[in-house]
Amino acid sequence: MQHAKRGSIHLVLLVLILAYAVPARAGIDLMVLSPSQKIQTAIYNPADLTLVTDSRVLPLDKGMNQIRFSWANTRIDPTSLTLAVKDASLPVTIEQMRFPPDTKNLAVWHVHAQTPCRAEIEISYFTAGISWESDYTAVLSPDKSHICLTGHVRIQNRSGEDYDNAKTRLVIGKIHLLDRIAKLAEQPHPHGRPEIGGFADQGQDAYARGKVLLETAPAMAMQKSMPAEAPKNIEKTKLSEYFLYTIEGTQSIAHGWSRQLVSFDAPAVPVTHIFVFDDRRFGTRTVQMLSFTNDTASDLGKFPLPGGRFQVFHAIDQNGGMTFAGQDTADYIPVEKQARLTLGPDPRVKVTPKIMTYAKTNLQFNDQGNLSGFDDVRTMAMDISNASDLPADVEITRHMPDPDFTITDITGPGRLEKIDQTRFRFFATLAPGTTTSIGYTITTRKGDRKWQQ
Amino acid sequence: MAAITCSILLRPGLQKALPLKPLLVLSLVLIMTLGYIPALTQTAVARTRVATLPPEEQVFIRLAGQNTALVQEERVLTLVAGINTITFSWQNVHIDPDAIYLDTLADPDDITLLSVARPPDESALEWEIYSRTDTEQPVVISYLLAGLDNLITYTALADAKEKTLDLDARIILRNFSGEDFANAAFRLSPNTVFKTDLQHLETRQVLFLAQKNLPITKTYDWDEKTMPHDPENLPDAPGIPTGYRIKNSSDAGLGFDLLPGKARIFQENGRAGTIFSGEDLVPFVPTGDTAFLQIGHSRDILVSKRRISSEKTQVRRNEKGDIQVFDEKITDRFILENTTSAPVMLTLTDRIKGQWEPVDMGHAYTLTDHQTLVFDIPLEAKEKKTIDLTYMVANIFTGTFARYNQAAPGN
Repeated sequence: MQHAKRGSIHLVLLVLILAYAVPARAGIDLMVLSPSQKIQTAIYNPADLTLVTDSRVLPLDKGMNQIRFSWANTRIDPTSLTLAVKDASLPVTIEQMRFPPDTKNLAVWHVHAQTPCRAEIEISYFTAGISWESDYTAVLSPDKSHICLTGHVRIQNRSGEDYDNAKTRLVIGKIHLLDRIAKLAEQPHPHGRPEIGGFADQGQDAYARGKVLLETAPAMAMQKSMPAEAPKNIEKTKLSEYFLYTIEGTQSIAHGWSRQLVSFDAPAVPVTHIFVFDDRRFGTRTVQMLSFTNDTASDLGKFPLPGGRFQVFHAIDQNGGMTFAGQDTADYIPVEKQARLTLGPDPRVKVTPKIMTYAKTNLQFNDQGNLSGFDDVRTMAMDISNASDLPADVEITRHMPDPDFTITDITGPGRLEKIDQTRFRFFATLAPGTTTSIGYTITTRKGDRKWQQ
Repeated sequence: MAAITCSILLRPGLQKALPLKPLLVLSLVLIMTLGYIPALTQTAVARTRVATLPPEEQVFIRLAGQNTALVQEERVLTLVAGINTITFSWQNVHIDPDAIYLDTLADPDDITLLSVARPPDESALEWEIYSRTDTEQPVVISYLLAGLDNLITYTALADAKEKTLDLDARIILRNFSGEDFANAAFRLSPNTVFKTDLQHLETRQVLFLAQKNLPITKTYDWDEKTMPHDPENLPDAPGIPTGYRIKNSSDAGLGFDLLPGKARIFQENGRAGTIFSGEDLVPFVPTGDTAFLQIGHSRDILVSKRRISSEKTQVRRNEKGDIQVFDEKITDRFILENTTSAPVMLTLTDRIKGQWEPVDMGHAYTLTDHQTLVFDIPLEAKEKKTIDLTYMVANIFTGTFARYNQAAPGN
């Protein structure tokens, strides 16, 4: 088995027994490697961004202390590095942070303490390479009236760093970013450099090589998931425009591994089967869509559902027998909104538009006797058949090239809804094994007839 | 290795060894002359005979954004009565030779800068200074140094209710100039001065603003120009831009110019932790202006715009029956929905081009120019609202003058 190359992060405290003055590199007399007390990760989707918060306790001496934070073979964005002292009442001041010129991937904070103390600090930073995605399994009941919907979240770590026993939150929401974190992590200088030219950048190639190494190394390990554990509860909360999935306890996510967790389980979500005929979107075929609503009646509705892949199966007996009904990728589903999963064309439900009569009326001539306009009058029949074993809600969407038309003389079971000035829609419900037809007359004004007032 | 030299050549016997800095050496060549012509002939020789280096009293660096900084060095020159020639030269640093200045801080009757000369094929300048007496004279040498600049970054922390925000601002010093600076005074603005070391190839971050509890207003901004009008069938909902408006005023805790820079915005999560909400670019915000910091896109506030009807009226024709001018009565429908459990304020920007007048606009609006309508629409929790805008576009031309159907920019 191929093993992924691990990155490393080190935190070193250097205490300078100096007066409160200009930080200098001389006078180092103490070096302490401080272990992490607590690591929290907030993993965003779809942005390739994870906020890592690393809490540690450091003994600070009176005077200027240097806290050195270094990393290697990881995808940390150095522009995001921040250090905070948790207890604001401590006589501690963070003076500066510097990226020394002679060392790569090293940040040094200058922290001044008026008196010796032990300070709980938080170092936070962004990293690329950790991602999560959601997917869903929907199992249709034998009568196809309900689905058992199970949501999963899958976390993948390709950051180059192992995160052991990390408190993990998954963030759902579209975040506004100016730069890709992965790009910032690859910069040869933490905040870039002024554009003056003339100085060869020898680090560029090394970074490019490192990036290739980082992205190719974990390929085999990614295919395997971590061993199963007892199911963990995932708490959902809303904050601003984001929903947070907070995973119970802590997670260890090693570089190169992925981990899948069940995010929710809704055993009986009512569904409807909608057969959509829309020649602009699907051509002449009728497409079956499975619809459900993210509401409390569905045992959902407490939080939006993040976008992801839905795999739909049909339970055909009580012994676990199933067939594969189709799959679709759905976007974010807000609370109380309907979701539609496209399962594909279904030849058992057909919609056939027919022109039953055709006439040209109200012919208009100009002063020279030339034809200048007329009305195009068609009597339409939308023949619908349902050869399936389910009741079929059929939705027929029609598009017109311009708004100069009127619809009259509607017959049959159809209910008309005007979407806007060029689109309208018919709804009809058919019992299994039945046919019907919706009739209507559509009059389109052509040429000068459009201008008749 | 970069080097700047500024050398002074004194009378024989006064030469001293130079305490050269590793990257930048300033040498001043000072020539005391009894006659004008001999002095000029000695100048070329003098440049190669570095005699003394007056140490920097203080280095000030004025930062003005990206790429270039103004470096000002205070030095004390030992001048002799007569004409003194001072050579300023540099290597492996980027200095604009047309922007090097030497200012004497003395009475012009005592010290006079006579001329500045540039030798051929050399990165150097020569100043000729007349001194009435032997004197030690403080001067300021100013030059533009490339490769040394600054960025501004902001870190904002909103409270859990998104009513206030703590704002920290940091200056990022980037030194790729070829020069080291020790205890230099960096000046970002008249009120922001700090001293620090800064080595060549070093990046350093210094906090210069920490303001607590700035009041903010959260808004959702839908603009017909950038947002899809019919998002229902889009595979990936774009979401409505949302963020915070901050007034730059002393009442709000600011009241000074905010410099452009990237802002990263976090929010307290109510459990002694924070989440990252998003980042945006803070433009230059003078006092009195309002800045908008976008954090993300809301997919819980839904907006659709549909054209429900368009009816042509007042059709006017020429003698041939060709249509020349008509009016059009239009109804556009906005379908708004707040799927969240909290009320929100939606700012909706729509545009109606050409000569138009309202018929029934369905909601109050502010006209920011002849075609831009801004609606501030409160949406209660779980509320769905429909607003119809009916308006008349008048005098729509066909043919030759059709380009006048919209007001072209300008007069």
